Amino acid sequence: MVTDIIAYASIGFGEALSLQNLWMCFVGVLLGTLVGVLPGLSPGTTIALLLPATYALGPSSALIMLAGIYYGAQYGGSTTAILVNMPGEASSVVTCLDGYQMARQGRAGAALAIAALASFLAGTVSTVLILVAAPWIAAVAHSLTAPDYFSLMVLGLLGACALGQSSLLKSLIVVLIGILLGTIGTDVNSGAQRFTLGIAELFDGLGFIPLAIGLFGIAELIRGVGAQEDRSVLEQARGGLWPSREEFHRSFPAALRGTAIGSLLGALPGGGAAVSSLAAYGIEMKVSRDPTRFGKGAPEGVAAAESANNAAAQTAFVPLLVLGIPENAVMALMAGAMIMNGLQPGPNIIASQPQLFWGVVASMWIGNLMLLVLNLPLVGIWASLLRVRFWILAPIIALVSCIGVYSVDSSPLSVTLLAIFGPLGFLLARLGADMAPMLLGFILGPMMEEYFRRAMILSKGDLMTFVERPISASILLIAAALVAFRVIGALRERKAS
Amino acid sequence: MWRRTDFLYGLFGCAVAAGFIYLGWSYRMGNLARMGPGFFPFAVAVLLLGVSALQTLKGLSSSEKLEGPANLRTTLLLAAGIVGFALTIESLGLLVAGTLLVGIAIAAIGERLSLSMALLATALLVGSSAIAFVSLLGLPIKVFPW
Repeated sequence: MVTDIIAYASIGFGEALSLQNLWMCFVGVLLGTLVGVLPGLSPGTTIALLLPATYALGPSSALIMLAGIYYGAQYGGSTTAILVNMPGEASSVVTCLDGYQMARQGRAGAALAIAALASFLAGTVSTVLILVAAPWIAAVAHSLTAPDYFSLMVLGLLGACALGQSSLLKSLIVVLIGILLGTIGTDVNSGAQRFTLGIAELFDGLGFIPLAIGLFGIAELIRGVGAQEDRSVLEQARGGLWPSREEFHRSFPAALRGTAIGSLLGALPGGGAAVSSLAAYGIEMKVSRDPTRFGKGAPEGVAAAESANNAAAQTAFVPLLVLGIPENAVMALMAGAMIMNGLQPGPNIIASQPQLFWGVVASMWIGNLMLLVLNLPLVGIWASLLRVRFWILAPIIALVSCIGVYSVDSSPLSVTLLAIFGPLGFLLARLGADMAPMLLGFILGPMMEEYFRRAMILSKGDLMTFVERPISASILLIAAALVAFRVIGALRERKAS
Repeated sequence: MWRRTDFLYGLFGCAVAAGFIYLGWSYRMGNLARMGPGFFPFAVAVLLLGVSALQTLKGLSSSEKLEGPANLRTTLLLAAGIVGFALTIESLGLLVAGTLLVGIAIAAIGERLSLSMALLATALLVGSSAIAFVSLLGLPIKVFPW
């Protein structure tokens, strides 16, 4: 067992420490910190925008860089949360609560250090967890059959709907639209054209890149116009970087708990950084002897939230790389990057691409180390980036979107799709939609159809196969429980109001 | 009624479902044991129709209104800029198409910039993107109109 882990780690570090991959890891975490600091530019948007550019890098380097953007953004988001009370990312909303209060009390330096150290601790622990757990999960995954896989995907989609920001029905509608969009193109089994309207560019299916960049990049751009811009950087003294002994003693156990919660929630469908930091903060308040401290500059609040979101950002890769099932929008984009590079995400990745898999895992730890070095000494530079105005960012996003989409297949039609999906994404967001489930449905749809077909051939058309097989039945039961949990919660809320 | 988000959302879902059902009607369905190309999309579209109908009904009794500004001018201008880029990139190259797009995008944002500032920003942005994407990343994109 231990020798296995050492063997995996050495494969991983061998790959991650190659010159190109180190460089890509650095570029990724640097960009991640940048977009984490800049509001109006989310890691999802950035990853979508850069997907086409990673085409030439090869799968390992592409994933290492894109992963760096995701967890790097968690670090960057905490910087603005603490210094300006403005969460650069959804996952650092909770960090604002106590981080900004610490800053107002002249402990900004300590808050930043606690956030960075807690993130690093979480990054290290979750890397080890992935090393231990991934091969085991992959081994289990190999014994799964077609109906089990179909049920797992149902769980992934329903989980994303039940735990998402939008209402359950609204998310379900968006997921189903995503699945339908995924059926556009040539049917792999019969060769029949579906929903192509005779347009040759659609024979290979609707492009993932124009869909993702339209729904995220362009839609976010339109939304950003007219949004409030208030960025007064705290001019107060930052205070020393080192946390006091008391702050340290309060933070350390909180960071450990946050890591555990984040690692667990990060790997669940619909989970991810934002949900995890919220949960970790809630639990910290429950276990604290004096819950009134929270919201008034409690260092354990910062430590819990930051460790949880960073751990979750890392374990979120497990379902994608081990089962082939992305659990949130960013992971759907990663799946897109893998598919673009000719790799089908799934349980075979560990066995057939050990360098890729372990390389990405090892790069996360290296990236966390880089972030620690990048963030603490350079915090002043990051804070000054807040002066970048939206009117500068917006044309850049528009231009990079169009060039990126055009570069994928040199097709003007794909660019035109941006003019459809961008406004559509904006409109749906105004109606209260969360766009992440649509992307998940689009990625998982074709796989679901395939597994459903196989399951039906095996069972000779008997739908009961999904509930008669124990694994599939228990997965569906979990999915039903998640949905029931959400529905009951919504009903209670309605009663209360 | 026409400003109620939940209601509109449901209608939108119904419209998408109806579109896919209409187009997918003629595809071969087969049966569960031997699914034709039309089976899966048809089943999903019917499911979508059901869920959307539920949402529409729910929306009749809810009073949630649209969130945020409509940004209609931004949306239309930006869409026009993107289509302009798509129409010109192959014939006129990146410099012209990019300038067109960035110019329209700056106008779309509605930030009051002096003309010289806008021109400078456009030139800088288009120039650096041409260098980054075509020279450094080596993407096969036509740069000049000739």
